[in-house]
Amino acid sequence: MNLPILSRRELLSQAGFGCGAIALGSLLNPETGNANSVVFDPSNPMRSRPSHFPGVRSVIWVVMNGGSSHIDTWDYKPELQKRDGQKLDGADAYTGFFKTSGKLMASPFRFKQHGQSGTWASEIFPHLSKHVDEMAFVHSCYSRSNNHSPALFEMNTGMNRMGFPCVGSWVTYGLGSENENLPAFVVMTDAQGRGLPKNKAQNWGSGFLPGVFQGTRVKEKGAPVENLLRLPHMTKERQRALLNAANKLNREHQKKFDSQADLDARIESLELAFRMQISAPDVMSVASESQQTQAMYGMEHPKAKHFGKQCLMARKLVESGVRFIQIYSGGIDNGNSWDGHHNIKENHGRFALEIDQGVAALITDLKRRGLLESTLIVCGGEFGRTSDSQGDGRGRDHNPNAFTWWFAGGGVKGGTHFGKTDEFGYKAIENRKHIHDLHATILHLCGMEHEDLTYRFNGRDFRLTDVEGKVIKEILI
Amino acid sequence: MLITILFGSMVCFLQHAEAAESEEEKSARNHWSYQPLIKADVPTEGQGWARNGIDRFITRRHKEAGIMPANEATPNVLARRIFFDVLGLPPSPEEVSKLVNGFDESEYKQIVDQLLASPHFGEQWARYWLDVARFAESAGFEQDFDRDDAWRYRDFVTRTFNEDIPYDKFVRLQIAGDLLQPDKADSIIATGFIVAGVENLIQSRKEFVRDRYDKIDDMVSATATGLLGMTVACARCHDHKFDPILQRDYYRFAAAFAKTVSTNRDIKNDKSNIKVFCASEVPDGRIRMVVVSEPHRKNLPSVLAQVNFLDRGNTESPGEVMRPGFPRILLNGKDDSKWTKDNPGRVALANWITDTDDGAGQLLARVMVNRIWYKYFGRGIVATTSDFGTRGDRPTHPQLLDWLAGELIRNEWSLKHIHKLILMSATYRQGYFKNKSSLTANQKDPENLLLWHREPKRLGAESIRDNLLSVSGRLDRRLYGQGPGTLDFNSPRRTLYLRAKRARLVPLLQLFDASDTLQGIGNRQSTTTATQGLAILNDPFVDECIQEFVKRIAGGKPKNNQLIIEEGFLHAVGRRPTGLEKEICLEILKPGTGESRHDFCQMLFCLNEFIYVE
Repeated sequence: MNLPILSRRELLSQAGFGCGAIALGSLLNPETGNANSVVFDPSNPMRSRPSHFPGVRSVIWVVMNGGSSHIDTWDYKPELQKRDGQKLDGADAYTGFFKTSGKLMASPFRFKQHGQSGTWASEIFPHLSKHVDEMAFVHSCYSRSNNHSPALFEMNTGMNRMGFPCVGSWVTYGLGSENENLPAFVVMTDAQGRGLPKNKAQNWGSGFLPGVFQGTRVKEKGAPVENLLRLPHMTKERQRALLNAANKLNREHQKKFDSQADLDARIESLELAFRMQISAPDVMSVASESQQTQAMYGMEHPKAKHFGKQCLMARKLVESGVRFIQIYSGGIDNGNSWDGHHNIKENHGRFALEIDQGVAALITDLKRRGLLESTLIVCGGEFGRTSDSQGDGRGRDHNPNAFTWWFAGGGVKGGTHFGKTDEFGYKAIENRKHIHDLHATILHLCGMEHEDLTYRFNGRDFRLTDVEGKVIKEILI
Repeated sequence: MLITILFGSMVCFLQHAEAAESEEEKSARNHWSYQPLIKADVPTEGQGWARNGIDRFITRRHKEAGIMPANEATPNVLARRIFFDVLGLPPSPEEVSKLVNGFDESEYKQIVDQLLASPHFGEQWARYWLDVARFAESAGFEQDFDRDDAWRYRDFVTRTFNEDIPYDKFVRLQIAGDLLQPDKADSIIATGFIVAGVENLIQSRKEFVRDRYDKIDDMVSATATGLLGMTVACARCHDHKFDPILQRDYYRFAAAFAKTVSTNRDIKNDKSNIKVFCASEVPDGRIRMVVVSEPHRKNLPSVLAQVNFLDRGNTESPGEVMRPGFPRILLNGKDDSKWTKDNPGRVALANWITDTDDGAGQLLARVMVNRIWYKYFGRGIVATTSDFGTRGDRPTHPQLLDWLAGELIRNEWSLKHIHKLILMSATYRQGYFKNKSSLTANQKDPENLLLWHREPKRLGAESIRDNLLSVSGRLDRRLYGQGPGTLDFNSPRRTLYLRAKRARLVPLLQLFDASDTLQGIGNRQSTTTATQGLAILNDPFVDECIQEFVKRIAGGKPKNNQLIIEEGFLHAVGRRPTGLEKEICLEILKPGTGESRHDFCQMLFCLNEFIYVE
């Protein structure tokens, strides 16, 4: 069902500001002949925009930063377990970044079936495995880069080069924000001091989309968002008084320019900033949550506390209407993320412990609050890992030819398994799905046609999915 | 497999055989921007209002539409406008008090001349060029390695604009300075343009060839879009969908950069040795894989430094080796050999791109005058400043655009000549609409496409920061040089000199729509957001400026509040306060405390007038 989209004229007449004369020239993409074109007004860039058809309100993406191993988590391979140490026929030693042995390495973890779907899950996810009937797995994912930096760009933007907008930017560009007191696109990174993911803030950049659509990183210490808290020497009352005076003067000035909507928007933006200081810190703190809730998110476990807190915050942000949230698990160095080059058992065991309880609690909590229907949870990283060991060790190298992502929440058919890898999980062989397809599916679940969400830059109407992408209908309700 | 690949590239080759011209190509060939400059006489209309050729072209369209231009802006408005437009800085209170009483035509001309001669002119316009050049001082990607010497290119651009080096020369040096004048430091530094883009310095074996083609693509894009407004890069995987640019054109263009890599060199400058970051040709004709993090790694693979035709852009099936050449649409029927014969690729490109007879020179001039126009008016004659193709906007004033481009070429490519024409025009000097007839104009042309008045424009991110520093008296006006260390945002130097780190862009600048430095940007957005408001309210840098501003206008001898208000307005918005404004401000200052003065100053920074220039 296609909902009617505001025409430009309607938008202008509804734009408020008492004047209805937003400079037409500043509205982008009006003439693409595409009924789903985004009408973007720079003086109110975050205005909530209708989706093309009904979809979720928010997205939470848990990033398995560094590239988690599918065959040690959700893609159980009995043959691999049986043939540990044997030769992997057709192995390409340069599949990953370093060099692999060509010898199969069984998963060090035990697998068991769970739920009505009988989903095989690794023992490292004791909490998440209780939710398998709510999760839809795509086992046949592939990407085009075996190197973190380009692969992270590909995961985020569809392109393994720099300069393109990431999914969160496209979604907020397409839908705007539901809560002007909060950033629409929030990013959380490792709270244990292990650094930002590789590429750092470039991962959540808006590329050629206007800068306002880039992700806002919420910091662990001090003001969660840049400049959110008043400086120590300033009081609320004084700030209010000086803003009142500024408003009066700005309104006087405005009389001369009564058809300049951008000037009016600036006055509004100062007021909004003032209000944000009051409302945002509350949403970004979990202190007011009950001890029971905190415990459910694993906040009493010293190793899982930091991630649980971020998951809990994600729920609060979703409740408040934040559009897109990305939580990166792990930091920058290989050993400090899911990048288990040397010892999968130690590495994945450690990181699974950090996220398992928090992510599981997020599903439970959203569900009991009736928010899971309007929220999409995505979990996946930039690539998978090789079925053969790296060198002589017990680790695995990068594998762009096979990995698993899972989805849960609004519009997702829980308990589904889609696509297949070969008997060792070395390559996706059935219903192969590129990142573009995963992105198309995310946009679809957000209520947008990925082919219609475009932005013209240097002569071309760009899309998140470039010239590709097919929605994975099989995992949808 | 091999046979398929060979066959595939053969088919490709046959499809794109040089001789045939498709119907689309024929019709797109008629697209305005590929035509020679229109040789139009300056219209005679506009008696009594027009001050130069610009106005006569503008008037003609006004007449056609039946609208009248607005009156000239008041002296203090005009003074503030030209200072910000030309220098990116506000006039000092002394300058304001000199100008506020008005000036006659010869005085105005003097002011314009003085501003164009100020070294801050080069800084302001370099800032815009650096957007086009996707300039930054780090490589991007995984580790975002620093480019410690890249700043020299920034200085080169600033100096070029200050010394009014002919634009065609500027372009030639940026493309091939190292080859054209191998002994001249500045010419080598100029090639910082070619290599300013991102570069992956931690590569994997599987991907280093693809990385190489991405790097070449970046050079093609920067050159074609930045200099010619041509979206050549759209033809990397297939013929251009809308413009007459073949996939073969892309690879011929790309071949000019086949041997070009970025490099750090020690070169002689006068008597001393300096380090530079620049372009150079690989000496042994091979491109090597790089893993900067592990330089000791041995046996890294390499490939011949050449550009192959890639079907669908796929590096795994390389087709024939391409020779440098240029889009057929811009050859004036000549053979590429006019430029390529006996010349390395980049020299050929530099020759062709500046050739006003048979090459791209006329388009080059059009694109640049339009960029300058865009910066002064907030909208280009062609609104899509980096896309003059069939998907871009058409010029609102084609004859004016071509006349200006002709003026640039006729005046030995002097950019200052174009600046001066614009600044001296009545069109530029208009105020916001005031006369009755403009109400009609507003109905007929609400977007102001015909330029019948002047709308306030928000300052760019860098100018907002520079304005804060300048008004508070903190601004360090030193010119040139390496600038403050990485991320020293609190430095009082002009924003131009702050290091541009791709993975750590300065938040305050990003808030106000600064470029992300990843691709060349011709038009910046100007968005309004609450987070901008938060910065003015709570940012420590802004607060430091407030505190200095307090000292500046209320420090020293005790002053009465009336005087503080007068001075505050003169500094912050370049005019005296009205009676009503004084009343409102007196209310804030009434307690007579340091805090109240702080709040008064912060309130001035919250004024729209502080960041919008009329």
